[in-house]
Amino acid sequence: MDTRLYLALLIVSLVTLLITPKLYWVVSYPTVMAVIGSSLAFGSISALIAARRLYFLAHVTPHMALLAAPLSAIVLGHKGGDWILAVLLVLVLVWTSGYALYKGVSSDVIASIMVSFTASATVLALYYAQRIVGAGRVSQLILGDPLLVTSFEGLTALIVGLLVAVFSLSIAREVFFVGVSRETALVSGLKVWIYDFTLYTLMALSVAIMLRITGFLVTSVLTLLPGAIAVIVARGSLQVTLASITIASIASALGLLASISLNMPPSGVTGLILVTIYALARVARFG
Amino acid sequence: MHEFKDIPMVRLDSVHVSFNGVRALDSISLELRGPGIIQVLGPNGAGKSTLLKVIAGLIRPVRGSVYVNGVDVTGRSDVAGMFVAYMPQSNEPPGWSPLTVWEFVETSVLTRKARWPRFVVGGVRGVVERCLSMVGVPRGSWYLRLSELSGGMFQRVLIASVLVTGAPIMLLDEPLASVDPEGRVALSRVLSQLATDRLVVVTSHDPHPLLEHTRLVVALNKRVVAIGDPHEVLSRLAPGALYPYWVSEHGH
Repeated sequence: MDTRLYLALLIVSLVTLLITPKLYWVVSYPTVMAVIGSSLAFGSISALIAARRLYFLAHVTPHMALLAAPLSAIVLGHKGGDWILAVLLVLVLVWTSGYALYKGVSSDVIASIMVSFTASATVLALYYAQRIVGAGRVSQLILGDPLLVTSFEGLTALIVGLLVAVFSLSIAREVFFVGVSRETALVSGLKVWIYDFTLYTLMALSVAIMLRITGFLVTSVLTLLPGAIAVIVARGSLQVTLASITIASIASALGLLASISLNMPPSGVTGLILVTIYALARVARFG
Repeated sequence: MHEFKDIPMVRLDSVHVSFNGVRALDSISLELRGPGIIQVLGPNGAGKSTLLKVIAGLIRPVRGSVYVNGVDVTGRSDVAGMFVAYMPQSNEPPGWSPLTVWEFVETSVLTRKARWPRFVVGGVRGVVERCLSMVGVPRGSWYLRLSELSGGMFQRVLIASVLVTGAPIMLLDEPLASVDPEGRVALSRVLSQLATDRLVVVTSHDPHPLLEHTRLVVALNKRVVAIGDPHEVLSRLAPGALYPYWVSEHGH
């Protein structure tokens, strides 16, 4: 498909999201901002993850974010600013994983250790966090609900989403190039570690900030599938990144509308829509 | 295409490389001067690819130093990259990559000629077109994804990505391995044209496709077994010196 078609589809899905509050009173503008922000962030980062084959990172980062959120709540209680601490914790864990990979540790080993550590520690953290922030907030971290976000959270998600999308588009060419041959990229003078560091940082920011909107369970799907679908249907770094953002936006818009109509959690419906698009794309391309 | 003021030159001083205690290169001291094609021959595990990576600064030797055009590039791919273009050994295109042939070759030159954010700069388009045509990538394949190419066509694209850089020293790891016989002849001519003003270092199991264009042969088996004029080295090498298994099995 042509790049202009992806752009047109992206605009249609964003406009659909923007008019949703006029159609359904339960949808507020903070919700729309949050959904657009998460689509932009996950759509763009997903393309880079697919290009570098860093799928393990898409699996482990939500685990890190799920540990960081209740841990921050325990540390700071009701003082506020716990999301900043959560973001910092996720950054440290993601950078540690990236450094281990750089030092030659296999991605399977990193994923095993990180998931084992974070999953175990998360059970303990959630147990204590429930007493501080309440079971509702904990449930929101796991299931995610854009309908519950505050104005501040919605605006933060939108700004972060825009920043992640702009950065991702500006480094897509180099990241895709490194994905083909890291050694050629190194000899051609590309500072590969800077692009890796930026990618890990964007990933950590996206997941840590969007966790409350999309929830732990669907974050992996959102960081994996838009890029995986885009790699099947589009060609070239710019087109694949744009296609990935478009696919994430379409799935989010349809997910939000369908969930309101069917009275179901939006993140779950969005996830299922992405899985369906992926299956259709694979069948259409490979039979 | 280009003229270089300095004679392209690579020098290795007592280079020793080992991986997890296993010796890969042992006390290699070499001086490779351009222009011309230099073939590095040897069996699997002889250290041919390692030698190229050491020259490109991708592997830091345990001992010894590497100089390119008089500059110490030991373990410094960013410094080596100022003089060197490197083509890795690859028989299969990356099955997942959605990068197009055009964008891959274009990015190979943009990473050297432009700063981030890298938009296309003037003159690049013509150079990319010329290099793709030179290595025989048909125009109809320029906007295919890399994953849609055959092994031989991907190899041509890799060679184009090295040519496009205009580097005075080219390190090509088995560039003709997956190319069909007709393509080998054509690509050999292209490489010999380029080698008129560059140093082109090529690894290979089979010296013959490039033999008539080769200025120097380095026979390698973790150490330098022989070095010199291609015909002289190949006739002087004791049977089985490089390929003992092949010789004993087939009696060649």
